[in-house]
Amino acid sequence: MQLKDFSIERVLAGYRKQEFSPTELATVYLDAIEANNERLGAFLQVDRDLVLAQATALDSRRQEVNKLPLFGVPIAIKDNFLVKNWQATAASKILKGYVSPYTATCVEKLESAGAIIIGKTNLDEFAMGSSTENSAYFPAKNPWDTSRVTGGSSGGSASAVAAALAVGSLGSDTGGSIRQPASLCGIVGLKPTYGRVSRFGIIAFASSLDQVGPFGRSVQDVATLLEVISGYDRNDATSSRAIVPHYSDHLKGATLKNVRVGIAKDWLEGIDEEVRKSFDEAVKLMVKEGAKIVDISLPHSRYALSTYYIIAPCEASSNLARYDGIHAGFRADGVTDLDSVYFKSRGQGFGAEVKLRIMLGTYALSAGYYDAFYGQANEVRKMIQQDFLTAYEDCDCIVMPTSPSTAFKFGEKSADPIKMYTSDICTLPVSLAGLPALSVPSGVDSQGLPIGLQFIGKHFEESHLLKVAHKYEQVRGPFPHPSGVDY
Amino acid sequence: MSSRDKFEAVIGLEVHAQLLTESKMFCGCKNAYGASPNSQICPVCTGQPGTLPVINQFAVELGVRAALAIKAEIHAESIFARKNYFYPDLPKGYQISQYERPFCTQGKITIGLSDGTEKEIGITRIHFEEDAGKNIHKGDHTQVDLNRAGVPLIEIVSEPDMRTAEEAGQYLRTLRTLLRYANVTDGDMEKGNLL
Repeated sequence: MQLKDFSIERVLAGYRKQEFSPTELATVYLDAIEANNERLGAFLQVDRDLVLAQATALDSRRQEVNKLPLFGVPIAIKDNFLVKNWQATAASKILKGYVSPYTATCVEKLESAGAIIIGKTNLDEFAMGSSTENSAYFPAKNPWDTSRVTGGSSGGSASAVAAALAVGSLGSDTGGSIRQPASLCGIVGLKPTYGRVSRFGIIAFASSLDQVGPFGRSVQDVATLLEVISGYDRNDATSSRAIVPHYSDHLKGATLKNVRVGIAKDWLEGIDEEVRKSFDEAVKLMVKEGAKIVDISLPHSRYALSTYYIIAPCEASSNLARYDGIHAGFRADGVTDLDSVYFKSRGQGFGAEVKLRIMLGTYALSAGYYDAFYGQANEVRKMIQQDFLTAYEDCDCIVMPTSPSTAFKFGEKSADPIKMYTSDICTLPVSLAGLPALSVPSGVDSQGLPIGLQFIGKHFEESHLLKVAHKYEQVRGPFPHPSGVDY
Repeated sequence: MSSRDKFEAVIGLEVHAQLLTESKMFCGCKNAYGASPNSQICPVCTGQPGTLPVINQFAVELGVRAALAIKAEIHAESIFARKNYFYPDLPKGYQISQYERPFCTQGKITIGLSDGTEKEIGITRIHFEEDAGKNIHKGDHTQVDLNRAGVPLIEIVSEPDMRTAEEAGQYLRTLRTLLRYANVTDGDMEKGNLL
C-alpha cells in the first residue's frame, strides 16, 4: 500500500475489499508519522493509544463502510482545535499541557462520519503567522524542500497531507492560513464562507474572520470533508442555517464551459514572475475549456493589508485576554501578587508575534482610538466587500494566485513583519469579504516548488467553486508528489 | 446660608437585577443561588478556549417584560459588547454587556411621595449583561467560585431626576415592586439579586 496515493475513496475501497482493517491502516499511518515527523515537524501531538482506541472501535463496525463517508479515514487536526482528551496548545507555551475538556463541533462531525483523528498539527502560535515559524515548539517544514517553510498558519496540517501522513486535515483560516500553506505545500485547501462551518471548539483568534476548512490532495476529497463538517450548530450563533449541499456529488459533470471567470489585473502586480507565468497558463487552460474571462476591478483591496492588521489584532487582544495565569493554561512561578500573576504568566507564556499583535490591538481599541482605528477599518472592510459583490454582477468566480511567491527559506522573512504579512496579500481581501476560496496546485517553479491558484466564489456557493476547481484540476492533470514521499 | 441651601442633591441610580431564568445568560448551566462552589459551571462560563456564547432566549423575554413595565422603547436590534478588564473572577478577561446599543431606552416610572404628590423619574436605558464569579479571600490566598459567572442581569440606569433621599428610596421601592410583579426578578436583596 502506498500512502501517497491514498484518497478518501481509495481508503474506503481498501476497507470494502478487506485489504486492511482500521487498526492496520491506523498503525501504518502512525509508523509513517513516527518515521517522518522529526524531518517535517508537522505534528505537535500524536497519541498512539488515542488513535488505536478509535481504530479498534471501528474494526467491529466494518459493515458501516458503506454508510459513513469517512469510515476509518485518518484525518489530522490543527492544534488550535479542541478534541476531548487531546491537548490543545495552539502552538503556544501558555497552553502547554492543556487537555481539552470537550470536542469541537466540526471534529465531532468528522468522528460521526467515521474518521480517525490521527494527530494534532503544528501552527504559528495562536494561528498568527504565515510560515509556522512562530510555533513555540518547532517549525513545520515543507515536504518539497525541508529547508523551506510550509506557509502558515496551518503549516502542520498542510505538511501532513502533502507528505501523506494523513489523508486530509482541518485548518483554520483568518487571513489566508489555509490557502497559503496549501499553495506552498502543493495541495488543495479551502476556506469556506464565513459562517459555513461551526467554530465551536476552535481557539479564537479574530472572531469576525476565523473560519474552519479542509485540506486534501484533491478537490474531490476537500468537497467530501466540507460536506461532513458544514452546517448549523446551536453552540455557534454565527453558524449559518443555509442547507449543506452534497458537494462531492455535485462535482460530477463539472464544466468550465461559459463559466465567467473574473481577473483583477491590478492585483497581479508584485507577484513573482514564475507564479505569474503559472497563473497565465492556468487561465489559458480554462479558456480552452470554454471559460470566458472578464476584467474586474477591486479598487479597495489595496487597503486590505492595513485593514486586516487593525481588525485582526484588535479582536485578538480581546480573545487572548483569557490566558491570564488564573484559569486555563500556564501560570508563572515566583508570583507575589495579582499583577505579577498577569505580567509574568503572559510575559513568559506568549511569544513575540503574539505579544506584538496584542499590543497593537489593545492600543487601537483603547479609549478615544476605537473610532479612528477599529471603526474606520470596518468601514473600509465594507468597501472591500462591496467591490467583490459588484464584480460578481459580471462574473461567476474570480481567480488569482494564492501566494505572491513559492515556499521561502527559514528566516527569509521572519525578521521583517511587513515582509511576512505581504505573503497574504492575495488572500486577505477575500477573508475581509467573508467569501469562500480555495487553492489548487497549478504547477511547479524552476526549483521544483509548488505554485497555487486561488479560486474565489460567491457567499455560500462553495458548490460552484468546487465544481470549477475540480474541472480545472482534471484538465491540469496529475500533480507530482514531493520527492521524499515514497511510502 | 447653610450648605443645604447652597447645593442641590442630584441623584441618578444604576440598579442591577438578576433575571429569574432557569439557566445562565450564554450557556445551559443552572442559575441558582447557594450551590457548593464551582458545581454549576461548564466550558462556556469558565471561559475555556474555543467556547462561544449562545444567548438565553428567556432572558431576552424577561428583559422585554421589564422594558414594558417601565414603558420604555424596545429596540428590535441591539448589540452586545465586550468590557475588557483583568480580574480573577472574570474567566474570559471580558464581561459581555451592552454598550452603544442597549435593548431598550427611554423608560419612566412614577413614584409616590410622603407629601401626597407624585413624581416621574426617567430611565435612560436597560441593558443585558452577565455577572462575574466570586472571589473568596482566605488568609493569604484567594479562591474563585464561578457558579455566578454568566448569570443573567439587567442593568437599569435612571436619569439624574431625583433630588432627595426620599425620592431615591421611593424610586428603588417602586422599581423593585414593578420588577417583582412582572416576574423579572425575585428582588431578593440579601442574595444580591437586586443591587
